[in-house]
Amino acid sequence: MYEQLYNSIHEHVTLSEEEWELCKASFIPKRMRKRQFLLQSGDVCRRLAFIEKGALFSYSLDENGNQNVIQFGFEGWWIADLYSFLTDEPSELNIEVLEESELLMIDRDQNNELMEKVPAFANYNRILFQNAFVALQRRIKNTIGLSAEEKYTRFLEDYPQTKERVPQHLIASFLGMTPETLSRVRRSLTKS
Amino acid sequence: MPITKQTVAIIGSKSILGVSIAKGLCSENYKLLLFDEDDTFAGQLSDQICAEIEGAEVEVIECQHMACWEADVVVIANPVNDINRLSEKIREVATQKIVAVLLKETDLQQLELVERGFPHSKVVGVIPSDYDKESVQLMTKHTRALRTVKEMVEKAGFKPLLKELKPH
Repeated sequence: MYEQLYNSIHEHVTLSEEEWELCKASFIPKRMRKRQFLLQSGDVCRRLAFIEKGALFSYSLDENGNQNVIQFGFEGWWIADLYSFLTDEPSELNIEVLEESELLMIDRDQNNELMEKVPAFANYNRILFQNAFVALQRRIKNTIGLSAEEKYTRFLEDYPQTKERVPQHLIASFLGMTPETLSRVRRSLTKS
Repeated sequence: MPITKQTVAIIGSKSILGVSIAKGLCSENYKLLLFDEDDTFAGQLSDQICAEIEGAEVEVIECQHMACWEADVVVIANPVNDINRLSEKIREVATQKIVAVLLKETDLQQLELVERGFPHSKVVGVIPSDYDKESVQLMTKHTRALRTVKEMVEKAGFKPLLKELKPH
């Protein structure tokens, strides 16, 4: 149940046996079904979710009810509305389950307490937030000034697992293009 | 009340508390997972609720472990004679979750026994009153958990009397 989390943490820091047990005791294990919501717009995001198994995605809805996909999350990734988590403001995002998932969640108080008790976990948190910032910058860079083909190519390099696991209309939304444009791009890349 | 639907597992849905909580929560923003040794009863209760309340999300689940894994809140609605056996089955997936447990009386030792069975959960003791069938006492060291369970028992039609204990 904690294998992916263990690997993720130990990729960056080292925990003693005791520290790892403290860590495990701080997380909320939750199994979720496809199409369930981890978070709905209007609620404050009080928890960070680590994905042990499965897939989720976050999105906002425009005034016409169209989905604008912000992020995907797969095994070994974290997913949350960081803006809401850090500011305590109601989220504008929904986080929905794409595939049946097993999550490990940690709420803000528990996260703070764990960082105090386990300095290595605080380091891990710092690295996570650094990586989140870098990913955000990369996302912005890959959205501006690139052709549709370039956007899709870079997207597949960054998220190879999405090709088989994510419906095309969600990928199109993430890339800021219509499903028809994405189909055209995929056809042209296949030909070349 | 959060907008995001919360999942409540009711272990021992055949009990008075279990039935009351199931009926009280089914019209609110909760998904209910019912478990009972008597799965026929649980099935009948689920069918009854779905027939009476439009849009109710209620399901009978055959595995306590799975019910608790999916749940945000676990309600153990049967008086538990062997808490150790139950906690062995579900403790792992109840970490940091609210576990509301039916107790026979306001007995700190009983509550502490349950807490030892669920060392990383937020245990709330639920004690029906001997004198007033509509009242239940809630006993816990966890303030936020107390608020959540209070809301739930109120929706189930009970009058909660609160006893917040000092944490160790």
